[in-house]
Amino acid sequence: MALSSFKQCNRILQAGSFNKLLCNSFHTCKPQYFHESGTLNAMPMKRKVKIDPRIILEREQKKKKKIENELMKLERLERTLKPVDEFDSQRRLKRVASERTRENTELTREEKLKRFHLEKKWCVYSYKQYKAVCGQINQATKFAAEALAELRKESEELYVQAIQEDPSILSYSKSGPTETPPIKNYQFPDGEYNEVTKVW
Amino acid sequence: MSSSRTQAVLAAIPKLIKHRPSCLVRASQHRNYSQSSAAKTTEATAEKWGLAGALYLERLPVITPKMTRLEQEYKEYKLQQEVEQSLLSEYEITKKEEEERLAIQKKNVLDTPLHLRNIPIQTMQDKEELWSKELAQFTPADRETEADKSNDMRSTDRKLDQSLVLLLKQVVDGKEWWYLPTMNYTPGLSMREVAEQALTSNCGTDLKFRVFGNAPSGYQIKNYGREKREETKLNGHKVFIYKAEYRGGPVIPNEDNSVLDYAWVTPKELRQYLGRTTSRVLNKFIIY
Repeated sequence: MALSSFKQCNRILQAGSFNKLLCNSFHTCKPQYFHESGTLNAMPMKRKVKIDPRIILEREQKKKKKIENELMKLERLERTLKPVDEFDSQRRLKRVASERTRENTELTREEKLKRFHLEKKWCVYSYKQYKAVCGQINQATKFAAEALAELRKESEELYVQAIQEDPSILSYSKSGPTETPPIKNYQFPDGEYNEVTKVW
Repeated sequence: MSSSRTQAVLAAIPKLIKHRPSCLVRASQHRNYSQSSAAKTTEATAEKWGLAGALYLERLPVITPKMTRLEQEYKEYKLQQEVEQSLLSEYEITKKEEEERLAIQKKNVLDTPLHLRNIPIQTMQDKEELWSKELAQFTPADRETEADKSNDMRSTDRKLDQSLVLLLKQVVDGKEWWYLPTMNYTPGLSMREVAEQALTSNCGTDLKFRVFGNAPSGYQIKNYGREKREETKLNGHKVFIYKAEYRGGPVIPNEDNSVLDYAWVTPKELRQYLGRTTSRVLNKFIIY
């Protein structure tokens, strides 16, 4: 917009470090055009560079993959069990063990002697028991071998039939004897259950 | 048996069991042990034996044997020691806390307001009473059965803490005698099948049992007297005994086979029924 020459001069004079020698016709170098900008409170920002969206996608995928790989590694480590030697007792129990000590009365001398003698007797008794059972087993196996030899003397065919493997033995199982015999015609009680039958 | 057949059979054996040399040496000392059957038939003076299969049917023990005094004392000592060396459990701690709380409550009964007195909480003591009541409702069966008291030799309920063996009373050569169920060998069967049939033919097919393996557990050689030897031209007969487990079912003695009676006998009572040699033979493969 065309300003009056007065206003133009006014503006030029207001600008601070303006080389006022421009007004002077003697000066011959080019004008420097120094000027003051308005107050800036921070460093000027970098220019925004527009990146290809494909590259952005790639970068995100790479990050995802990295995280997934690390998760897989952790899971693998979880599955491999710790060797037993490295196990430490539960930390909570260690803390709590002191609170849970039992108040035991000191054993009398007679009690201690009695226990000592019991242990000795038991040692001898169990050893004799073990030897007896071992002897019986050895005798039985020896006798079975003798029987096979006798059978062989009689007929080879019967002997060959006798030394055949019997795979049905592998499926044999037996649960041991109990304290009391089973009750005959025992009515088994019902377990606990929630009645869900509808009542009309 | 032709020699070619035996050779074919021998070739088919993948691995022979290794007999302990001592028993083979002893066996060969008594008899002319020869591998080939051809040599056997030429030796007319070789001893001939009849073959038979027997079944040692065992009803295994149902209840644990009674503890001796030493075992009882040791068990109590060990349980005591285990308790002494252990830490307090959750249950014991809560029980202790409740007892303390109750004691405090009793002291400060007058201090607590009316609406907070005597709140019914299910304490550990109540729970214990409940559990002991529930246990009292169940009565286990007696360890000594009726058959024990009446000494019924035919029932399997006798002496539940020991194993029982089936013995049959048979008439052989006009004499009655007790023995395991036996049957003479019939050609075409394996020895195990002979033993199994010895039981089913003499005691009925309702019996359920299980034989362990194809090999015999023991054997017994019975020599004939002079008359029988001349009659049958055999020196005696060999009985091969197979061990079996009794699974259930009744014993029905077959009177056609001249089986008069049967009895379920403990190993210690065997001597009363069988002769000295037979009970000695059977003791060799009994495991008490």
